[in-house]
Amino acid sequence: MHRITRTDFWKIFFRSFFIQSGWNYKGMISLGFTFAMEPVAKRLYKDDPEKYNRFLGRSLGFFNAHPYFASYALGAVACLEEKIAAGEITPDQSDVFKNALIGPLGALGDQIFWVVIKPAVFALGVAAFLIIDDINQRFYILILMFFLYNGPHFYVRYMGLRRGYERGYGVCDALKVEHFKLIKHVYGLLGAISVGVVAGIYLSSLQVNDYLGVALFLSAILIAGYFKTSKSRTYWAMILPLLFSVLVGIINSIL
Amino acid sequence: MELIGISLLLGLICLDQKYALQLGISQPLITSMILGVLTGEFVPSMYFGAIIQLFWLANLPIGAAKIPDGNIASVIGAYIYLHFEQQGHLAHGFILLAAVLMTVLFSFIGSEMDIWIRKGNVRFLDWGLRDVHNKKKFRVGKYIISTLGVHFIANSLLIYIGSMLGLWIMESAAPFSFCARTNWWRYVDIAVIGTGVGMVMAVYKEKKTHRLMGIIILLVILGLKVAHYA
Repeated sequence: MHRITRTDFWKIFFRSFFIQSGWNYKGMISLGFTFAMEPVAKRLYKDDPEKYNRFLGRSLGFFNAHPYFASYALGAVACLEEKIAAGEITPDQSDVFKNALIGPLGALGDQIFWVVIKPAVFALGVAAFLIIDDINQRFYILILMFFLYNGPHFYVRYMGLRRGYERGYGVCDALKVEHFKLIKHVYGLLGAISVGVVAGIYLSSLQVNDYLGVALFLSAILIAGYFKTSKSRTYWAMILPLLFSVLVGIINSIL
Repeated sequence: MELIGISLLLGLICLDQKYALQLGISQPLITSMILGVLTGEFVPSMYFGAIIQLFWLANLPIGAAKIPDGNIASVIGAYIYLHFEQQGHLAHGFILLAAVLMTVLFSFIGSEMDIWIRKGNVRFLDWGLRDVHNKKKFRVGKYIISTLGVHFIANSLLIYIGSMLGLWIMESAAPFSFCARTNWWRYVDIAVIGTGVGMVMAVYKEKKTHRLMGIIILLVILGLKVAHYA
């Protein structure tokens, strides 16, 4: 039976960084998924152009997932494609399984990276920039942020690909939010503390008797938070507090 | 460095936002640092990058959701901010307000452009599906490179045109006296940071998280006041 090699594994890993290239409303990330799967096709069907094209044609079918967690699907599908090449399972079985992964991979990735890790890391960066004035130290902060963000990122991509390939159908066991509880908790805390630090530093930088400044700061938070969270009006949330501050500034200068 | 060079370099880096690598290097904190290196204006560039960063943290690119293109727009805002801060004859608050509003405007335009390109990307998929039926071996790489090329050109054009438009609007407004009235714009900094904090609160909805933030805010204020008087 043909099996992918270590070199193929790393090729898939590096190609997975382009999984969202060619994102479109018909196949979503299927073009990038196919690009990442190409080394598998070359390994399994290098002497059979018809099967090679059929395999890649299957990969071009609709698929969507969080870009980092899609590695679980890449690994699992690589494993299943080896079984297809060996005649152990049919292509339809692989397609059904791949489609079933769309929901869990998307939900897990969104919960962990977009909602927790990304806001936490960059809020920390903002807090650090407000505290630290030295350019060199800010540069080190950026390096720290890079590792804080990409540590979990690379881990998910690598382990997702590895576990998916090792377990095939069994990859679902690895896709439980409980496995990521610690990382969610730690980064969640980091984010909340960072946002608190940003607000605290800025409030304390206002002059003691600048009640209007404090009131404006708090009202900007409330207006933006209300329109963003309750009304889902992102652009109003960004613009209204600024216009309100200008109005207050004009009235204050007249009075 | 000329605007064309800046647009090309940062247009390339902004591919990181959604379509290549996704290492987080297209975030405003980092692109503003790069812009600061290119223009020699580190401090104001990093300041703008830090305060505008908070605006985009609650944008969740879930599924096919349409979100503002904050990273590219922040480059435009930062460029406009740096250009007029250097000159020094307009009120800081006015420059900041204009830069942030331009950022918001181009985040919307960038989002619409992104949707348009994504619709166009269907062609690459269709060509790929057509190729798999040919007898020759199908090569995906050429379509990936093509689509990245399209995004790169679009990013660079958006940064260039957005920056030129912003400069033109500001130059047109500059002769009017209200632009230099410091008092009118004195609260803009406060509002921008407050808005950023309010925006990021959208991802921190739990009451216990709000309580923790409140405690941290009080501790920070207390700590800084004690340090100040000590």
